Amino acid sequence: MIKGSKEKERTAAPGGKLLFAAVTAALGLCMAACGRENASNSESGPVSAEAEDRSGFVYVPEFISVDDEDASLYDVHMRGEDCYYMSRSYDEETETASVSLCIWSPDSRSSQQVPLSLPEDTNLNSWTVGEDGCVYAVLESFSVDENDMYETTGMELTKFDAQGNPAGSQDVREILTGEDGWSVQADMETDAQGRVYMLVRDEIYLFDGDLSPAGTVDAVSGAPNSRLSCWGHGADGRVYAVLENYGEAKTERILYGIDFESRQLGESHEGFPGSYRSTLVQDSEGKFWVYDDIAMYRFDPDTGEKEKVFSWLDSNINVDSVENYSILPDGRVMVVYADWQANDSGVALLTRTDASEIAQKQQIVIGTMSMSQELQAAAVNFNKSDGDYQITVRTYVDQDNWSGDAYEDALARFNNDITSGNGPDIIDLSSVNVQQLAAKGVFEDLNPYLDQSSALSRDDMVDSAMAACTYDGVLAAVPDGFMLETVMGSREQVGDRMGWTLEEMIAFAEAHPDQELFCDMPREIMTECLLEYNMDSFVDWSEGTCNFDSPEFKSLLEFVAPYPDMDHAEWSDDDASPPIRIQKGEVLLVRADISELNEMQLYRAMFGGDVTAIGFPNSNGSSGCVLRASGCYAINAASQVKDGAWKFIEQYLTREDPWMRMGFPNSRSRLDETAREMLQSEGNSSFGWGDFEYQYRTPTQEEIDGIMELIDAAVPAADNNDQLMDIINEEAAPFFQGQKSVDEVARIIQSRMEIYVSENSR
Amino acid sequence: MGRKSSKGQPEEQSPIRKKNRVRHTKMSRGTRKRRLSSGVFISPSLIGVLVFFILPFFVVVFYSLVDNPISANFVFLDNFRSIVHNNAFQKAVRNTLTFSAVSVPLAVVLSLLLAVVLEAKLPFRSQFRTFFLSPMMVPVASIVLIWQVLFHYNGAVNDFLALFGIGKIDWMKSEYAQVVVVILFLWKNLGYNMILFMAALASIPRDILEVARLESATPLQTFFYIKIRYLSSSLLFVTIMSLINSFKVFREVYLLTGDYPYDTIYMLQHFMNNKFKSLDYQMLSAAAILMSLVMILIIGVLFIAENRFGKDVEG
Repeated sequence: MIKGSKEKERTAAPGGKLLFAAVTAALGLCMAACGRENASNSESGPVSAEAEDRSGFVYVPEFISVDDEDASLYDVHMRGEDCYYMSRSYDEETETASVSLCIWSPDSRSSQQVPLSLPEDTNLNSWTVGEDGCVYAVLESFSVDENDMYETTGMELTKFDAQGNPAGSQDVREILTGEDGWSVQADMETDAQGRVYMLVRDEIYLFDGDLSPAGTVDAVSGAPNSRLSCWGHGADGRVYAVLENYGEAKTERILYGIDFESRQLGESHEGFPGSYRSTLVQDSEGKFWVYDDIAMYRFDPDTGEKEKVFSWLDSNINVDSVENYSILPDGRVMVVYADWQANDSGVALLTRTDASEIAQKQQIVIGTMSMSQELQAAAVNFNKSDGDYQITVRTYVDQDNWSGDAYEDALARFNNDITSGNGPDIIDLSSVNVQQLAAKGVFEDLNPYLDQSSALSRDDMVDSAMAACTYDGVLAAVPDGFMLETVMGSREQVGDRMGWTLEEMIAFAEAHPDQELFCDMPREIMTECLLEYNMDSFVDWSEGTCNFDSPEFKSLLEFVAPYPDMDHAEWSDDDASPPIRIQKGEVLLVRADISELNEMQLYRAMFGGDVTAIGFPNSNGSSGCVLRASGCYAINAASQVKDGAWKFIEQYLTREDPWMRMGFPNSRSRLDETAREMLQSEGNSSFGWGDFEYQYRTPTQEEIDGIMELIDAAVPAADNNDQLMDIINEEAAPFFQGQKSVDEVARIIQSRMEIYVSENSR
Repeated sequence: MGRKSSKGQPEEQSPIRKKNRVRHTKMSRGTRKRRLSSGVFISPSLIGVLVFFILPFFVVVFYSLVDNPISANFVFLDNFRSIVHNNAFQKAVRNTLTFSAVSVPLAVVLSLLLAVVLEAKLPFRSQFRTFFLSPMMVPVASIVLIWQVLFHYNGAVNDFLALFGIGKIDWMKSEYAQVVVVILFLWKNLGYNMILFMAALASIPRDILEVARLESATPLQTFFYIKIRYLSSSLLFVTIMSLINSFKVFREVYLLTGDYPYDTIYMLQHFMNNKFKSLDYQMLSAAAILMSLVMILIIGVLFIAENRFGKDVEG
């Protein structure tokens, strides 16, 4: 190359080199910035990813009680800065009921009452408040016949003026009477012009200011799989509604302004956030507020963007108790709540506060697939009572994802969190593979915590329930409660032994060819009954071997083959219910889910005599009663706040009013106390199944002892059998359809099972 | 450096030597600058390879030496011992080796034969080429659908066989399963390999072949003594690619048969996929490392073979 051109080349290069250097530097900076979203959180100590909400602003609540014992805060309307509710009272002397409209103001923190002049024999079906302070109500008039049966005689949309006097009405009986003749409840809104909108079954009925009918808006016309999920009046005086469209895999929500003049849904705004329980509220900036189980959001209809405003748990409010809310002009959020279980109701004024101005608590994250009412209540109670720790809940299931993979996706996200070290501090065990996680050492051993606890006593706990949460000596969780699953049969027929093998069960069925083993049980459920708790007969996990090509397994397949599959099972409403058929002797056994100490009498009534909880068949004929623990919360072994996590679990297990517990309490003393109460009280509940009705009586000591015996003999429910059942159901299907022989399907099942068992042998 | 005098003292440097030394220093600085700037420009790719390939490999090695990914207690080679004795792993290795040992040579030999045949001036040559290439363009979901329609127990192949009085065969759940998978693999990959060989055949110098023909060499002699030697690097490449693609057949098998297929088509990837799902990262990592060691060995042997047989024809 010519020297001069080389020099030219060299001098021309620096500009290009500079450009490349700049691009490289930019790329390097971008890569360095990857994944730094939570860097500040990780640097601040044991605070989880949820802490990013607390690094900005928090809505601090001020709880104010409403001093009116007749107040009904379960039906509250917000208009402007005021909160409207009804107060109902009954005068024993005059035997008259009275209804008053109450207007509660956050400034005065007191209510002003306006008595409503209601005609006799009328009820308030539904009501709302206009901008002018007038009440628009549907009055349902009724009559009582000689049998004390109530019959609706009329329904009128009535306007009450500011003094509570009727100022116009319109007959709406035809609109509010269902096809079955029963009246339906309407939901109503008004706009700035005093026009009324009445929502009945996804159709909006319009009424002018003088209550004359003005047509309808069919909200879901031309949109199958849609429904109106929420609506409300905006700060601009218009009425808005949200239409939910349930797609194949996802739910879409669109916000509409209702056009009264044209009788249709007006302008639309897509991307509205999830709001299956929320009222629509618009603030003075034109943004819409809506909430779900976790948080309150603000949606900008112009940009389609939503932002999370605050988390309910951060504000110590149980979202299940929220009745209504509004946004005050000064930015505060006024929430009306009514918790009938905790007997606590009132108004919470939430004030936006810089997080740095409030005392910081150490955060504890609870991981769960979906938020439950029980968890919500427990978390709120803990946050209110504890000064050191604050609970937040991380849910994994996307509520708007309707695809079949929603749970699998949630589980994958959960597993990723666990293995990446970003797992929650407390894990809700209700929907995860507990055995798999226990084998990986995910759970903290709670034995030392329990031994040192002053609030909980191991001796008071039910051994079989504790065994259900113990894996290789590690106590993963202390269950709050448990339920029993078993099979009941007449003692005369099955004997008094509480367990049998598969062969014995099949022999029993074959000995009674004219009777059904279980009533109308599809093949899949039958297979599950015979196999799910009997896998040890065919699988040796320690050796990593299985024998699904054995004669025993083939005889099981041949036994269940005659039963119809779930898609072809025929049930008729004319058929007698299973309890009646058992009473007639047509059915031999019944699958029993037991959650009360007095349930033995029910099965005695079904079988007309003594019963035996013979249970599900298993390999050695031992107890076939299965125990399913509930309310299990485990501490993540990698958690930095184990003491706080145990504090929450302790408080949860010792709560005074466990109204949401499923089944029996995990406490001997509570079981004994319940038994004593049952023995002293008269039965006041009943059981109904089709044409079978049973009124519970006072149980006998023997019956209660029978249930207690079942509790002690119960074995933990089998974990990790879903994959095995899936393989069996899939491969056995051609045999049940008559396409393959039992030997062929057993060979294939054995081939596939061998792989699974080898992979997972312990 | 100056030369030492007979008395051991360095000689006085001449001006020319000094000038050369200065020029050498300037060139070193320039070389250093160029190297530095090269390093800067190559750094994004290097960082990418480091972050997405090298570091994860070391993470895998770490996982293979601990008891589980959560507690991370060091257990040295226990995972390797455990996995080697695991029946499922042994079965997966056996099946994978068998499949690769059968399908890879078949893929190489058949595609080479096809390439040789299509090299001849046959009519409809380009149509044949398109025909063999078209499976590459078919999406995986469609392949699975086609194979299900064909080889299902109630599928088209069994219907066809029934015309001849042959009973139904459960193709994917019997000893024939591996045959079906081999056919699937060959159907999908023959076209690509064939194209590679056709390109390699076209690049063989014509004068060498002319000379061989003039020297009365038979076509077979020409093929084995000349063409194969010139194709050695392509053979190596096609063999390695076929080996890699033989592992990728897991995708179709997984979609056809799920997590736990019939035992003859249970591959290493099934084992690793299932271990990943069950959070058994340590076994997965141990299996991956063992597999990579075997792959390194095989590819090393192939490189040595290629180097030996093809060195005299390399440019």
